[in-house]
Amino acid sequence: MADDTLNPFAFEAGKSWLAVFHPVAKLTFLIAVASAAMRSEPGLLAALFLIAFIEQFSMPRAGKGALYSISVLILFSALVRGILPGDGRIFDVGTLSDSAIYALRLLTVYLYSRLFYATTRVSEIGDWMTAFTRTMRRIVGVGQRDVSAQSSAAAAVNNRPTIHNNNIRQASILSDPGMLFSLVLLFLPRIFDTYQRIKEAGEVRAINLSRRNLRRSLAMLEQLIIASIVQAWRTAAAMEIRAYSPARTLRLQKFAWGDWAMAGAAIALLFLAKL
Amino acid sequence: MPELFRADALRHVFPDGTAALDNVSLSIAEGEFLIIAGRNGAGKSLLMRHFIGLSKPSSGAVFYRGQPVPAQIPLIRREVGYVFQDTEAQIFGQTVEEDLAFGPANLGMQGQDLEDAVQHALKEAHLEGMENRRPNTLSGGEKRRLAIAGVLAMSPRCVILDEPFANLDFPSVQEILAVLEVLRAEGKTLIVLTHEIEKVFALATRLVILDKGHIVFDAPPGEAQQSDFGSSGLVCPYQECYPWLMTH
Repeated sequence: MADDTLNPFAFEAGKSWLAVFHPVAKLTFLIAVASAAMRSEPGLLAALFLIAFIEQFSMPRAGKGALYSISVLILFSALVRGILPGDGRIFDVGTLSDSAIYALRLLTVYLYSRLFYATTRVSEIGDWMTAFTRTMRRIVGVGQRDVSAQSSAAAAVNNRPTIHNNNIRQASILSDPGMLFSLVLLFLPRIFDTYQRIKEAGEVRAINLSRRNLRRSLAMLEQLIIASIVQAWRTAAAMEIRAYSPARTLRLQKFAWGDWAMAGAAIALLFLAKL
Repeated sequence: MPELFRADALRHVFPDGTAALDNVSLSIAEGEFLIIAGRNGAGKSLLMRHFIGLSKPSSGAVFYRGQPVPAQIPLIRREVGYVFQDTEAQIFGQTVEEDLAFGPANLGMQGQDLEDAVQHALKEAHLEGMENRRPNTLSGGEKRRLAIAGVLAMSPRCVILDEPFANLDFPSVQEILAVLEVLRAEGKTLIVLTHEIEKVFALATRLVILDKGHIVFDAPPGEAQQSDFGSSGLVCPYQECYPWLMTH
């Protein structure tokens, strides 16, 4: 599996006090803080940046991935603000102070995003997506059996949990967007890992893929596609064996007082940023 | 003991005409500790895929608790756990705890029942204290035990393990064997598919050797002769097969 230190958004359970908060509260706060960071005065921006920066120390080391992303952000800011200022020049050095502020805004959003993703399980977000979909389907009267089966499915037979009936098992995975979301994020590092292995296998056989040889690149792409299909097929079999059902139990965290406080802080922040 | 699985004249032919399983008849009773051994490509995994309803026979029939497998799929999913050789494909959670909850949640378990199932599986697979670890930070042996725990969390009556010792060092093999001993003591039906029979030989109650899609041996492990292993491409598990080891 790919080394997650390359992924600055990899989940790290329990390393930050933010991990205990409700994902919806954190998402609300993230939206508010991102909006504020992009529009606020430099003073508030600096404060927001400082808080996010300090909180990063409670997280595991960011790794090369984060440093690379930050470098791209700063370069992007300099280019966006400095390139073609409109007076015939190609680049205006005088706009670099603006660029610095702009970079700080993007960096602040980046750091809060990282805090959100690194302290929130994909399944937490996914379960809320599925819960929302189930509610909407209930409102419009679609797939009610899927949802109502939830409680009956837990009825015990000889003190053992029972499985959903066949109708429920045949419900479409499309009614479970949370699982689709989780699977996509599960697959990305695995595909990246497969790519690395194929690349290394080519390199030890003296195939230099960095030369951009189209035929070799296509051969590698073919290998990657085949390996990904095999991986998807194995995952599907494993899901089947572990009795996957779109009517699965969702593990939804309850909204606690701390979550309300975080949502309140989000509103206060929007007020402070005069949005 | 009541019969769990039965295959009657099971035949599986690949599109190229190769018979991967040819006229295989086998009955497995509840509570057995069965080794299905054979060289790579002998048909071990394919036979099990038929038992759990992941493959369809070309001819013959497969039964679970006396009923055809296709009609028993929900019961099989609840009662039979399958640990794949490729454990990575079987891991769905971002943490150990989350992965263990995947199966029970699919069965409709909720609240405390679900938490209890997770804790029980952690204990049985000797993974206590690793609840919040990310699966990709686990060692090969720990990942294998996580995959086993993932099926144990669903309280199966039968556990099938496909090459459970593949790519594991000696301490990891010992850890897997310790888990198997616990499951055997609980009276679960255990089916181990392996070509490394020497590792699990002493625990099993029955040995089935498959070769080129045929059953060539089916008896208690102690009744197997040296020639039964060699002719099937297996390592002989008896110490007397290695006299040179005794000279040192």
